[in-house]
Amino acid sequence: MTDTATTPPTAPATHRWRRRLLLALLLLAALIAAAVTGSRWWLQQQGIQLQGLGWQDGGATVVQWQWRQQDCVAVEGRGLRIARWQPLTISLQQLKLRSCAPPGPRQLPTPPPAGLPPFTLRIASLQAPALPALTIAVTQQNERWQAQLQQGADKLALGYRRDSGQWQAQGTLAAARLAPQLLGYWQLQARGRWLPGQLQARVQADGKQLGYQGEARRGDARLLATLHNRQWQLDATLPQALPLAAGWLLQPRRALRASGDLDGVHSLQADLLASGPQGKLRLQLTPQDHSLQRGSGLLQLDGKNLHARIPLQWAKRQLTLAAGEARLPQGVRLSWPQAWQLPLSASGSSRLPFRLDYQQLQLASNDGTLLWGDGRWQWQGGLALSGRHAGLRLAGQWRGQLDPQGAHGAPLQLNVSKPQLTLAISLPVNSIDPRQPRLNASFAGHYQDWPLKGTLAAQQQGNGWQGSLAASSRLPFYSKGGALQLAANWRGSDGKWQLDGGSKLDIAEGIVGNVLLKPLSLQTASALLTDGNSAHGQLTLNSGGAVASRWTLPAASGTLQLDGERASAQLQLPAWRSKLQLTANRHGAGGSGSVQLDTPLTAAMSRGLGVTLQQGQVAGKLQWQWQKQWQLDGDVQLNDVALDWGGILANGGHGRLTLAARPDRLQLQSDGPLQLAQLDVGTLLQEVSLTLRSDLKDWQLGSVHAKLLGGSLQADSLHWPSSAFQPVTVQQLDLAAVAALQNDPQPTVQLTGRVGGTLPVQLLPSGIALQDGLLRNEGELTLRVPASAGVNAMAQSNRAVQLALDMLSELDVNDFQARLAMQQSGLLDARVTLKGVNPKQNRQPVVLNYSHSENVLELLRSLRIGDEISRRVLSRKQAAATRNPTPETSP
Amino acid sequence: MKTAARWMAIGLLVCSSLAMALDVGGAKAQGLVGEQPDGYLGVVKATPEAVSLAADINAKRREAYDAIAKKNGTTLDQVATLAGQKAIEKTPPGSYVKAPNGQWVKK
Repeated sequence: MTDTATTPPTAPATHRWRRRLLLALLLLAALIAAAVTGSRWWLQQQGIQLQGLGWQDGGATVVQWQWRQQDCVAVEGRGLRIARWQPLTISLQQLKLRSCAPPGPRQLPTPPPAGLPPFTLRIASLQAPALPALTIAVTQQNERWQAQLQQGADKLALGYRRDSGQWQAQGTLAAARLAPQLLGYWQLQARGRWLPGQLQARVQADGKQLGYQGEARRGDARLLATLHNRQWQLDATLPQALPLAAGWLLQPRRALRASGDLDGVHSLQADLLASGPQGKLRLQLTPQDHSLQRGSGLLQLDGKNLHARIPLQWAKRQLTLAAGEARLPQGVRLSWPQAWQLPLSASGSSRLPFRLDYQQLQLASNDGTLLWGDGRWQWQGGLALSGRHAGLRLAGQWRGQLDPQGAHGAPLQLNVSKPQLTLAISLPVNSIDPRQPRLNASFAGHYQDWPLKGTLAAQQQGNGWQGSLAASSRLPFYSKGGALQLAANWRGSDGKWQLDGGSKLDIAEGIVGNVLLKPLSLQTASALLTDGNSAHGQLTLNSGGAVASRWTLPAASGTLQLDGERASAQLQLPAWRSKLQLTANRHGAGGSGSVQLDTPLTAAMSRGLGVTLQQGQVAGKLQWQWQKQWQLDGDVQLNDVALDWGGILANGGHGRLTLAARPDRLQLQSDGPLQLAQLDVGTLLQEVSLTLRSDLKDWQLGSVHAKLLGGSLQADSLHWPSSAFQPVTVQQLDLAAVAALQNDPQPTVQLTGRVGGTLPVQLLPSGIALQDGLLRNEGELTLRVPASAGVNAMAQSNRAVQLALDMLSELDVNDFQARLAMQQSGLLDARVTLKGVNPKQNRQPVVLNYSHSENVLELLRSLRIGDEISRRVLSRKQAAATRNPTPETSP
Repeated sequence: MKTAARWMAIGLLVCSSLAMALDVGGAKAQGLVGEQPDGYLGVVKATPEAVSLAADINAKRREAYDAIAKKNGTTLDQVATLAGQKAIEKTPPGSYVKAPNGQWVKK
């Protein structure tokens, strides 16, 4: 007998169970695969596509999904996650709803299906046409729906019972959500019924404390709207005046009644009256039949600078504004040559040709079309600007689209011109966001001979604008170089603008005439403010100086202070230790100011002069004015001036000069005497003193006085150039000093005593002439001709000469007269009479009449007197050089 | 003797300025600069290089003229004028010189 209960299973039985288990698993896998495949097929048939199926934190996830209706993506979602299955809890990061409704009558929305299991749905960002992005949370349980919609601080709570169809909503909405400039808020209350094929609603919106930014007044408004299935009615009432922009008020009244269906407006009755600083606007709409299907109205604008009467009518769901025009504030005239026809429908388009006239400017569009639908609008077409403004001829064009997101299309092209100015401006519009406009314009052209090229960037900042300006040009009076670069950051509003500190204008090295101007830069040290008429701020100036073939101006730096109607500048030239201060005050179209100069005189300043400034100090203060003509007045103080013309030296110069300059004349005059301690022209003049009056053509010297040869020289007045013979008086000239000019240790002639007299001189540019000059002895003179080898030789050569020399060897002269005349050529005729006695020959009386002709320039040359010292020498050398170009080695 | 010394100095100066730098000769050959009756180089065709070169040469010439004038008791302008005449004479044909009427002419 065998105990089967304890007998282990046989091998065939074990294998059978394994096969059955394996078969069951395979069947289960096949069922799952079939379910998944079937589900995907079903979803695809429904237009639903899923991407990125997965599992995360215990929940199924879908990265992206969409629901297509035919070829239109009606719903698109991202980041779907099923957090719980019981109750069903779904979250979505983003859900986009699009309108895929086919053309034709709109249908009532279908309520959600009944009998849904409980669920919770949270959407972080719901985007629907004509609505801002919303955060939404929806729960449903036992046919009761609750929804919370939120955007920022604005909330709307909705409740809905699927079984009875009852629904209600309440919430608040800030007016700024509608437009950023609006103030106040709206309270919403709504209720109704929503069942398949049935939708009823009564919506009441109460506007509280409504206003407009910048306007102090506030007002309330009420909108009441009802919907009965496809039919709706709207009733708007203003219990108080409602502030609008720019000081306008919408006057209290029952302002608007309208009705229609889901596809458009059926009737409209309005009586809107707005008043503002410019006048009044009234819109009256009057239905013409009981069904309100047609009617007419009138839009009226009345005011000092506002006028329009625009008849309008509507019929067959189309509003027609008759062709007309409107006069708008600031002289703007809007006209439309053809009637505007606007379909009264939720979507449509209308061609709106118009023309705006402002002074001599016209902005016109012949093909502009307005399109609207799904809560959006767009204008598309071309704009043409033409005419004149502010002396400029303007011509521009643009083609593209305008919508709430901004402008799109080709860059705006604007040509600005006037005599000597041509500027082409290009402004790309695609980057312009109306909520935060940014403009980047480029321009190119020329003004007179100035080429202009650059870019201008601008963006709105608060109530103003800011941006940058980069421009290049070339200074037209530079024959070479002179490139100009401007780099500036700017900001401002309401006509008040500023260049930020650090804005810089650079002028590159270049040639003007035959002068090389080194680089120059002007930079704003602080913000430079301007209202278009005046400027405030500080600029720094750095100049590399200037170089010409004969002179150099060293580097200069300084500051320029602008203070409205006043300006001042301080410049330093470190290499010369010079300081220059300038002030300017504007008076109407002219101005006045001062120029103050304080500088030592240095040889470095003399490179372009025929004189070398050795030392001294110049301080000047000049006042300038510029009205119908300019004038410059002031004085210059010279101190301790020393200079030389090469071999002619002057030092110890002091004096004050006054300057009066006008466009047609210039007057330079000494204020008190001009003095020179020494003037060495070969013969030393000391304590030179004179007054000066000149227009740089005529030079009048007065009270001329100098010490000369132990005596003095003086003239009451000397005029150059003048054909008149003007007396110069010399007194007490020491003949010993004259004899010393021979510069000979053993002079042939020894003289003592003093002479004086009058020398009438004619001062002309071509030279100096002397007529009827007379020198007399002033006291007793002595003449000695000491014995020397030369004298002895002369005496031995001729008996008469010996006799004369004996008589003249020692002569006491008590009467000396020298009559002098000199031509411009320098030929001097001297007729001399000496009367005296020879003390060594019994005081025999001696009378000597002596005539002499000598070219005085030669004489002066020999004495190293005067500027003409080497004229003869040079002319002689020129003649020699012509004959023989090699340098001479002999005099 | 003073005149002789002056002449020698001027002659040396003119020669030295001619030999001072080939740049001067090159600039003259290119018609950028030319000799003037006042003893200084003038700019015929203004370029930054020509102006700088003329300024440099003229500064050196003025120093030399001044020294000669002081040594000989004459004026700087007179020495410069004399040197100018010599320099114009020594200017090779084809180079620019300034005529008395102020016009640049090719010698």
